[in-house]
Amino acid sequence: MGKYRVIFEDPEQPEQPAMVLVPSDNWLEEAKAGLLPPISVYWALQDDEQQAIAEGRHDTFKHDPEKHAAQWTAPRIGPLTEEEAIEYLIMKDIPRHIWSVEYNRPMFKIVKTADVPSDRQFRNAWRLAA
Amino acid sequence: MSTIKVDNLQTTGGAGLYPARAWSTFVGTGTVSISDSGNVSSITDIGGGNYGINFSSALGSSNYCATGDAQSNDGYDGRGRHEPKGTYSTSQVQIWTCAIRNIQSAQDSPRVMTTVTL
Repeated sequence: MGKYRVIFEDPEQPEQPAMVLVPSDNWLEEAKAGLLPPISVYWALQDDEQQAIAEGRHDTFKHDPEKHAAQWTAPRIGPLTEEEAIEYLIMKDIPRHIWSVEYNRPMFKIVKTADVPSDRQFRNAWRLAA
Repeated sequence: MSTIKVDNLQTTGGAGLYPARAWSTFVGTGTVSISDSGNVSSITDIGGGNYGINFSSALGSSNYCATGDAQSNDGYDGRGRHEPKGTYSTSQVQIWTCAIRNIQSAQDSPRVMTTVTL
């Protein structure tokens, strides 16, 4: 089990409880082995998909084959530490508006796994402490 | 270890084969953790019985098929229920789990199993 979790809130969905990003150990191993492409490869794909959603054509959406293949063909970025991998994962798996915009309080926090409550009672009332 | 790279898989008779593009088994209770997975970079614990599965490599199309099952957490049923919900993006599928005896409300599951094919 990875050492870290990321707790975040989505300012566009204020009624939603705090969410917890749980990294995959298999993916962390790939990150440490230097097998990941530049993060820009994923952002290009996300941008294309968001464009399709905005234009109402997501039901038939397919990625551009060349951009899609870049996930495997782009030069690898090299080995990452676990901390660097978590930063990469935030930029990949947490919506961009959560971590790229400055709000009047932090919208995400990297915490040790042991610090996440294991008692999930009242799970839908979890909030990220200021 | 060797890697085989192909664009199409077929039986010797010519029928198409469609392997999973992603799969995961995770614990959705206590401290949520991924037991094992393929092409999954992370799980987003969205709330009680609500989870997002984030793919390591984005899928080529949004018209994929996500199926799965969930073990019940209430001590009454042998099985729970697992349903995709809302988001079907090429980088994440969201699912929710519940007990068969109460399909109206989401409930954490101690074992959530998902397979994605395309």
